[in-house]
Amino acid sequence: MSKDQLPASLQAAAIAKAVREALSAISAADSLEALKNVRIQHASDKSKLAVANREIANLNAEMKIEAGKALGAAKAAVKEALDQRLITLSIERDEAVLRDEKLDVTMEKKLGLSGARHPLTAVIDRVVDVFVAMGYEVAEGPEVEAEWFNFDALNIPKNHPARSMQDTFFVDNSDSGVVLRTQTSPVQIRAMLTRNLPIYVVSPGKVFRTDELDATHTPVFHQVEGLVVDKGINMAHLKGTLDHFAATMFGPDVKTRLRPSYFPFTEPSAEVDIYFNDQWIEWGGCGMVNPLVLRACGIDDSIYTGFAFGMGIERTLMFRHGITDMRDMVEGDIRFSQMFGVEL
Amino acid sequence: MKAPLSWIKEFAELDNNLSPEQISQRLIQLGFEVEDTHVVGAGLEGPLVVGKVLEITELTEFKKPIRFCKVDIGGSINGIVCGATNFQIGNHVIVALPGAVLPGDFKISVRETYGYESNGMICSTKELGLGEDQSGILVIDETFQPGMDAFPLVNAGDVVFDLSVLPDRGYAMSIRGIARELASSYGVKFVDPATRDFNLPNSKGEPCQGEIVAPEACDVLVLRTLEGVDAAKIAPWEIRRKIILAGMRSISLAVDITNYIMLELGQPLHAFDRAKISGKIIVRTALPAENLTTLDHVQRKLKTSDLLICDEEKALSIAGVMGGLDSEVSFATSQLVIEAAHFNPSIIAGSSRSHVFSSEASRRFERGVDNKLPVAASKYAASLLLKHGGGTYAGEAILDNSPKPHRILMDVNMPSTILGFEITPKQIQDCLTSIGATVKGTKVLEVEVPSWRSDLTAEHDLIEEIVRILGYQNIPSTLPITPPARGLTHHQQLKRSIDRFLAARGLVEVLNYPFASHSDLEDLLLDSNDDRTRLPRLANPISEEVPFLRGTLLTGLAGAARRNISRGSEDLALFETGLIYMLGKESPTVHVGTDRKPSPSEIDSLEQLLPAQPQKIGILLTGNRQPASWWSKPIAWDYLDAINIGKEICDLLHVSTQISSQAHNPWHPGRVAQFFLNGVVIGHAGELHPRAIDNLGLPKRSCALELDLTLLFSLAPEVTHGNPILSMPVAKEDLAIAVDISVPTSQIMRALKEGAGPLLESIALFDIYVGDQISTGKRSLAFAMKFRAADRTLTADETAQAKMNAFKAVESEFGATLR
Repeated sequence: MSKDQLPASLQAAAIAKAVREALSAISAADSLEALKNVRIQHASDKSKLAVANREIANLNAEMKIEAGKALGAAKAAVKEALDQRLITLSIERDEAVLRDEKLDVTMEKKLGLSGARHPLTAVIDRVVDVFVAMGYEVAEGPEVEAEWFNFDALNIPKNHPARSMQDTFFVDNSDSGVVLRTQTSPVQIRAMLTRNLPIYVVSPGKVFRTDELDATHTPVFHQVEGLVVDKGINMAHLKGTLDHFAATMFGPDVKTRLRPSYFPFTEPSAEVDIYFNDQWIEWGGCGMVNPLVLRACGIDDSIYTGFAFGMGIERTLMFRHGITDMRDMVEGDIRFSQMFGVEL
Repeated sequence: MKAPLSWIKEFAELDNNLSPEQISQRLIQLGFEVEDTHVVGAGLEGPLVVGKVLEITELTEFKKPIRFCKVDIGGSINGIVCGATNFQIGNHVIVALPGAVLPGDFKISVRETYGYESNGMICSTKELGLGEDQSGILVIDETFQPGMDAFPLVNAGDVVFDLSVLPDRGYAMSIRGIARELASSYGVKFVDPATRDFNLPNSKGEPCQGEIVAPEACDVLVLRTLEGVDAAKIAPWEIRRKIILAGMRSISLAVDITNYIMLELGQPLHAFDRAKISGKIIVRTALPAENLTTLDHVQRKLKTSDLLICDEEKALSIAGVMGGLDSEVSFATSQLVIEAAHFNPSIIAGSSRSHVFSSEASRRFERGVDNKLPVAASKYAASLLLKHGGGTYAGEAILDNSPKPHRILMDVNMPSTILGFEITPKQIQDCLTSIGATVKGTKVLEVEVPSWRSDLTAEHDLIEEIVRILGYQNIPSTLPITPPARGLTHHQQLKRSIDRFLAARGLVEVLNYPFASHSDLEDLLLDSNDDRTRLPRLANPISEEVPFLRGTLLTGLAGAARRNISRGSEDLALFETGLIYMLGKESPTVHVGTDRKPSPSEIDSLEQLLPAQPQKIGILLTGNRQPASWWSKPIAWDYLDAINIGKEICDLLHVSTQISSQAHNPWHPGRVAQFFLNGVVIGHAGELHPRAIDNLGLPKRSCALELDLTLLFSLAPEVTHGNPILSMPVAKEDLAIAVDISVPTSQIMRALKEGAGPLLESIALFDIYVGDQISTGKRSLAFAMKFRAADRTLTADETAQAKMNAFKAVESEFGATLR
């Protein structure tokens, strides 16, 4: 064959035909596997275009250029189609895989058991956080307590009803001078004896009274008590503190009411009621620290005044969370704590 | 105290437009608790007439006693069937005639019953809506003639407030006190019933004399002697009605009159039958081994702290608490001695507590009674007895050593300073005057406290009175400016972290009672020299079964576990943090005053009284930690879980605790880890002893942990220091060895770490093999080791060398071989 004559495979019509066949095969390939075969047939060394390409070497220089251009364009078109098809089929294949991998996400797969804090602990922490945010510190004390801290220093006289065996657990015997603390107030005394003035403390803890367990009583319960001793402290400060405390625990719309009351360790004394869920509820006791108590702790009552308040944590939990039976709090049934989880 | 509004209004000019609800709210503001507001005869409609019982026919054929009575109702005689038996022929009674409606919408009509036609009803106090007294038909005095309209006698529509009185307010346990409080608060006129003129005729005769032998316990004694009184008469209806409304029973002329005056004025009185008194009346304390049979027919052993009213031979009553049976006034009494006295409140309170007996009298005396009342009240009683019982006045004996009125000095600015809002001198003056005090001075006020307010002893008491009268609702609401604070302490933070960590780990917190029984110690296999058996004992436990305070948290946790299991929750992980209690040395009780700060040695001696009270954390694991599910077989809690939770708690606190195998009850001796640091034992964890498990009623293989948190907190560093993170490449090597099965893995790990040297970053046991491929008594352990240097990439030689050094360490110490 002469160098000046185009072989049949390099004729424009033949090239066009080869490209047409390739493109048609490419678009007909419906899987990556099929496309792989199409690539072997139409874009490998054995393809028509590859065979034609090898013919170019035999052409004269001028024709080489012409034929090379034509064949290059044809190969590029085929490659482009192959690449596009590959992308399309890859996407389809990936989507199919994801479709096939679909699982039931509504199935339960719980690792281990459901843990919980006791809701009383959670309420105590909540209360403590409110007061810590206000600048108070947390004071603690022993549960088995000397009568001096639990009664004497709090101006509770020897024959006071609270000191009887009907109310107080005595350790060993009724003259031992040792009791299970009946209130968290002895922590106030300890705070005043050991801390520097001014004092802003809150003391949560377990307290004990000789009540039978029923829906509204338990011999072991929890209180939180607050004590402030500073210069210029007055009863308006007490009211303001209780208002803030009540609002943080029961919402901004809660109302508070002070009612005259009697506690040996405060004077004036008051009960604090809250208006919550359309009724007045007795929440706790409070008052201005009796100067006799300050004196027993060596605080100069001509310079310092103070206020104190105390609330039942169980009552707070009952009102705030709609618990009606105190026994649920003491029986340790995990379902009770699990209702509340870690925070409430 | 039950207080009828009509009685209050006799002394306080309250506006008639005030509703019971308004008055009730005002009483609450003043510091009373209003337990109930009862409307007398609510719904009562006539006709109600006075009747006289003429005939009684007992009908005995029925299961209960039934009477058919003929009753003169003025002009006609009605036949009435009645189920009560506490009245006699001739008694005057109140009859509801057909057409009447009794409280509770009980319509009275003519009806056939028990074979008779009953024309009306003979009424009891309860049926008339006067009170809850169940003692039967109300018999009234004969001044009321048959046929009289009885409706006004009931005074339907009157209101009775049932009030709780605060323990410091003795004066408020009287109509006098309540009326004064309301008059002060409303600013209306008050007439003091104690200052009325109680006319007594001139005395003739020999009055009973008195002597006070215990002046610290009794400072006023008044005795008034009456002769020729007819004690069998019925007290007038107006007195009895008030007593009944106040919730007391009408008993006899003398008792009714003394009770009436106690209710009105607040002074308890006692009437003795003079015929049963020998010589004079003596107020003294009880002698050793003295006894007295009291009105309730109980023979009481007296304590030498009891104050007694006696004659020259014997005790007559426990002063201010309860009368004696022998000297009681009877219907046959004609010579009466009325005793009125003022006692030291704490002595009466003491007797009341020690005899576990509280009376109307003791409740008043222990709260404090006006020391000026004995003279007035006894005079009032004598005059009423003479008026209604006849007889003559034989005179009185009055011993009055009461102190002068108490004076309090108060800076005029003090109320404003303490209360936080402006209170003018005039307001102070008005408030204090209205409660009966006199106020002198301008800058420093001199306040003379009225005799009925022994509770007012210092400035702060006066300030409470002022704000009470002004109303607590006037106190403004402001917040104090707090100083800079430090927030929670490190230990408080750690406690919270432990709680939250354990909850996130699937554990549930419980709060058990800290009470323990003796059998708990046996259940836990503790021997008698174990610290956990040195338990404080309660003098008055909630139950004799649990008289001790706990020495471990485990018993309480076991109890909670049993309860949960019985309720269907078998997979459990419980935790509790709480105190345990351990007796220290015996220490003598100490007396420390409260008039000053106690000295350090005094405080120390108080602390010495207390048992040790360390805080512990206890955990109980039973059942599965992974319940059976579609994706997992059930995985039971095991001893290593308990130990691991312990390690994690220590890690959380950054305390590098060590553990060792050390038998310790109530754990399984071969499956318990002892946690310790520097020779100090912090606690134990592992599987419980099979016998303890049986004793505690727990499922087999239950596991537990108990650590001393107080100790752990004291070991926890306040600040944790960090190291730079190394960025050089890591080199990983695995090492498999065969070693004696008895060698603890912790020992092997320690030796490997020591042998590997500083290039070793971490080591983890990833496989254990025991079986055919290894000789008996040996096991294969495979460790994943990571090596890293701070300053360079490690060469393969360096890593291999470090690994080999690690192996050599276990080879020489434990005879391990490479696998």
